[in-house]
Amino acid sequence: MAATELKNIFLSASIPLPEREHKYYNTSDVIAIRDSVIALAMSVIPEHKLVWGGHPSITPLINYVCQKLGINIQQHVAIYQSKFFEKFYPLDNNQFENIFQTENLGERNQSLLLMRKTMFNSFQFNAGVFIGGMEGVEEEYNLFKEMQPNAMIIVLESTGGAAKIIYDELLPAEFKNERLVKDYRYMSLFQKILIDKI
Amino acid sequence: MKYKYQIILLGSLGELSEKIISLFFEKVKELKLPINSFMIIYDKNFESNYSGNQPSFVFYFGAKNGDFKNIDLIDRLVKDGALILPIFYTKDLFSSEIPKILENQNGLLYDVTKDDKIINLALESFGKLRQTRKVFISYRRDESTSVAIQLYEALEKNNFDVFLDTHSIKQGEPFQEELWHRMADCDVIVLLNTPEFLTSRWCKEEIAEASAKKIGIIQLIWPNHKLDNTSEFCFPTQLEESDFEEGNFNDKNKSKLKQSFVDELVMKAESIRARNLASRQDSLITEFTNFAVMYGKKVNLQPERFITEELGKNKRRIFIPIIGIPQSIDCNQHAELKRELHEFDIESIYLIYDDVRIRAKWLNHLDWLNDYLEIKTLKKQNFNKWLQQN
Repeated sequence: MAATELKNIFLSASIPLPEREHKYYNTSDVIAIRDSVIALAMSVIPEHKLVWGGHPSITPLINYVCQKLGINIQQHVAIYQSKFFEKFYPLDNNQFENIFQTENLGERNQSLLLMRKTMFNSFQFNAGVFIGGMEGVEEEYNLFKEMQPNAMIIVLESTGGAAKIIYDELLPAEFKNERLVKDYRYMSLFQKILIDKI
Repeated sequence: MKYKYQIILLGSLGELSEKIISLFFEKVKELKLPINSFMIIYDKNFESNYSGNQPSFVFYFGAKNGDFKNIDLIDRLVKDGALILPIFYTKDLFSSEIPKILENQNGLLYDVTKDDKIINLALESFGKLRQTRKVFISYRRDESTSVAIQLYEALEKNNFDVFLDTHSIKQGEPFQEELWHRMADCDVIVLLNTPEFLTSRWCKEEIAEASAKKIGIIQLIWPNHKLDNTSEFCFPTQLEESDFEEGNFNDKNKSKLKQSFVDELVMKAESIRARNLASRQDSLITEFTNFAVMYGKKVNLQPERFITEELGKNKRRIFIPIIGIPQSIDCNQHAELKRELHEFDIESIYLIYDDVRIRAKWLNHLDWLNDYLEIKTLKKQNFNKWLQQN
């Protein structure tokens, strides 16, 4: 497939932690989050482009999966990172060429907002996928919806956390689907509801 | 316990189903498995109790009069990739005692000599054998030896096959190959995350690798330490001083966790094992059947955990999933497979496996199969394309 035909998929995911707000942690299924991130990487990266705001646990997992699959991924991933978190960057960043850094505005939320806006301004996305997560995933959902109004939205309710809250409280009916709630076979699920439709 | 093994009883229930359940729990006791790690589900409590993210085994009891019950639930369970064993009563009358939706499922003709076999099939699907209940404890010798040994003994007592990572690895040395080999076959790893643990033994690459291999990670984080943001793919517990006997958490040879905490941890290991087992089965077996159905194939997941595809004229293709280290294709499955081979004309046999999980050298262990069959292999990443083309 020629590079110009790559479809852009945005991933927003993180793992709810017990010491943070319990409304995220109590419903989260870390195994489902793990499995769905792996499945998304395996489904999207070989033929399209996966874009995400670098997360210290998610990035190494995707990197490992890509290495094992033997895919030359450089054209197929783009990672955005705020320099605010520079000292926490995972080493894996070195394995990806397409890392885009945004300014450190001296304050966490403002720096993150700049990173997210830059990311959403840089691509026209065909779809956004939202998995598990806490406040950050909710913020990315709201901004993504506003800045990429034509993109398809996939919220994996079955992974819990912010994804469940978004699904239950914010998601328009057109993006709801029973499989997003009950189906844990994420490879075939993404094939059906994402890859076949973009 | 958050996650459980689900035993589902459907169809025409009565004396036999009650007997099977009571024999099942006798066996569970005998094997020293915690009784509350199993949940019995009937049609009445199905909607409120069943969940697709936990392992399940379904007994479907046939009806001599052809009045079939719970067809709608069976339809859903087939789609979810549950293992289903249809039980019928009269020789040659499978198709009149079992509903059409299960017509290609390997059924079991019941007589009292089959009780053990029925129970074993269910326990087998949950990995009842001790050698398939592997837990790996990783710790740093100069920080948490006594706690590691304490957990080793507790898990061992609860019928886990525990592997204690006692090899001393010097700082900066790569994680030993042999450890990884043994670890990759575990369902659960318990990490004793003391302050120096992640810097010396594990790093985020190892956590990522364990996660990609679909191993459940429990982290016990010491009171003077906190969870690192590169290792969040885990079930973390932040320990308090009060979780230790006499509040003593930093004596590598004397510190011990309170018994109540240890008991809870054992249950947690069982729960996470159940969730993870479902994940592994889904990620290989159910993904395969889902893709196959997408391309209109007639595939069935047999109660012995292999997949058959109907090609018509009594011809079948067989797909054997490789989940753990291949030796774990147990004798029972091997025997069932032989029976398959006699009853049907087998066009071909494939081993299906997850490339991300399995090591190439494991595949060499499968040579025994090659002795009498020509076996082909099929990687998970190619399921979609292969099923479309073949």
